[in-house]
Amino acid sequence: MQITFWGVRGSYPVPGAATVRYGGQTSCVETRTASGDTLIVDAGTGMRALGNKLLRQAPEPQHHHVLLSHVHWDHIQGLPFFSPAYVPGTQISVYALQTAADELHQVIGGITRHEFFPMPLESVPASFDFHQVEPGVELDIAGFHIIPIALNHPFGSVGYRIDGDGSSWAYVADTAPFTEVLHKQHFLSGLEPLTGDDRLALGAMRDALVHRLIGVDTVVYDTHFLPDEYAQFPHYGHSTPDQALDICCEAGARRLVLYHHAPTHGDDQMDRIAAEYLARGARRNIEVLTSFEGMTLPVGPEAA
Amino acid sequence: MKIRFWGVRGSFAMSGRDFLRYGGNTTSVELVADAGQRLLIDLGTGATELAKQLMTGEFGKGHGTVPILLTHTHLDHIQGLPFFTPFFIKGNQIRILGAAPSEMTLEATLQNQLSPHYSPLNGLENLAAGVTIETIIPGSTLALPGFEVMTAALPARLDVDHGLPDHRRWPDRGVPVRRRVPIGRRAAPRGARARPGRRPVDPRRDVRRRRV
Repeated sequence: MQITFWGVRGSYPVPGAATVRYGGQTSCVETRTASGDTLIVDAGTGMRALGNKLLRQAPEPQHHHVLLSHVHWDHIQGLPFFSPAYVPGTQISVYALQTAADELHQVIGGITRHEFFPMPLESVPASFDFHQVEPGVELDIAGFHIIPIALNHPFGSVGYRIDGDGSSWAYVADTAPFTEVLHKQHFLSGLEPLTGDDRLALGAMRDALVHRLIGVDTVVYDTHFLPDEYAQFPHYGHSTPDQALDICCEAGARRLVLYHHAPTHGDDQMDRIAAEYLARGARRNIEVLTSFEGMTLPVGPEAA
Repeated sequence: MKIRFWGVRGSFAMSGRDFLRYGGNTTSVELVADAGQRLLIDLGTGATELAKQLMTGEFGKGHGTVPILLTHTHLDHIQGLPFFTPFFIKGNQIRILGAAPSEMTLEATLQNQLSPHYSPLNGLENLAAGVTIETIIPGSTLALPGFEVMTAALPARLDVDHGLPDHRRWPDRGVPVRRRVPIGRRAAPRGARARPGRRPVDPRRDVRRRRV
C-alpha cells in the first residue's frame, strides 16, 4: 500500500514563491494498494491535480471513493474541479460525517449552488452517492478496511484508520488536541471553561484515537500550528507536531507524517520544522516526516 | 489613481513553479486614489496577501475603513473572504457591495459561505470588524469615498468563462456585475453623491453602448 500527497496545506491554497517545494494546495491524499485499488481522502484543492492524473491513467469511466474528514472549504473545494466527474459513466461515492440535520448531498452539493459555482452537482455527468460514516462503525470499501475515528474540530470531524495489503495508515485531520477545548457546534472566539463532562468526553476521544492507532504503520496528522502559534489560537481546532508525537508514541506508531501546514509557513520555515521534528522523533524512536505535494510513501512492512 | 493586482487567476488558485511570474492567486484588485482612499474589487485568494499588507497599517490597529466591490460570488471571487484578516480586528469598518446572485440575497450567500458546515467562523456576525453588506442594482452608479463607480450587468457565459471540461450548454445563472472606475479622470471628491438624475439603466443597453 502507498499514500500520495496531492495537497498538504491547511485553510486555503497558497500560490507563490514561498510554497514551491512543499506545495500550496489544500488537503487531499490518495492511497493505493498493490493491486491498484484506490481511495481518496479529503477533497481539498489538491484534488484537481489528482483528478487529472487519474484521468490520464484511465480515461474510461471509473468508480472513485472519497472519504471526507469534514466539509470545511479547504477539505472540499477541489471536488467541483475533479475532472473525472465530467466523464459520463463515472461513479463517485462520498463518505462523510453528518453533523447536522442537513443531508450530506445537500451540504456537499451545496458548494456547487449556482451562487458559488457555474454547474450544480446534479448536472455534473458523473453520478454521486453519499454515505454517512459514524466513528467506530467499520467500512469495507474497494479493498480497504476503514475505521472512522471521532476528532476534535469545530462542528465535528472524523479521522480514518485505513488497512490494506496487510498494513495500515491513519489520517488524523483536522483535530485540536484533547486538553483545553471540546469543539461543539457553536462559534468560539477564545477558550471556554471546560465542564467535568467536557473533560470526560475529551479523555474518551483521546483514548479512542490512541486505541485505533495501535499497530498503525504511518499516521498523517494535522500539525497546522507550531507551539507558540497554538498558544495564541488554541480554539482554532488544530494541533502541533508535539501533540501529534505524544499521541503517536503512545500508540506505538512507526511513523508520523506532519500534514495540514499553516498557510503562513513558507518553504524555508517548513525545512526547519521538518529537521527539528525529525530529530525530536528520533529521540522518541519514531520516524517523523513532513509531507509535501507529490510525496509518495510506501506503507507497511516493505517500507520499514 | 493606482491599480494593484493581488490575484489575476480565474477559477482556481494555482501554486507551483509554473505560476510564479504571473501569479496563481484568484481575483483580487486594489485601487488607491491619489488622495489615498482605497477601494477593493473581489476577494479571491489574492486578498489574503493584500490583507497582510493592510494589517501593517490602520487595519492592524482597528482603524481601517474600506469598501469592497464583489463582481459575483463564484468561489474564485470570494474564497479569500474567510481569511481576509482585517475582518478579525474590532474597529475596522468594511463595506461589501455586490449584486444579489439571483433568488438569494448577497448577505444570505455570504452567510452560506461562512455557515458552520463550511467554515469555523460560523457566520458573518462573528467577524469582529463592523461589516455591512450592500446590494447593488446593476446599472446604478455608486459614490464611494474617492471613487465614482458605474455598474453594469454582464451576460453569463459560464461555460466559456470557466473552461469546464464539458462544453454543454449550461443554464444561464447568476448576474455578474462589471464595475467601471473612470480612469484618467479626477477621482470624485470625498462624500460625493451619485449624479442626480442618473437612474439605473437597462443593463443590456449599457453593455451595448460600452462596446462602441
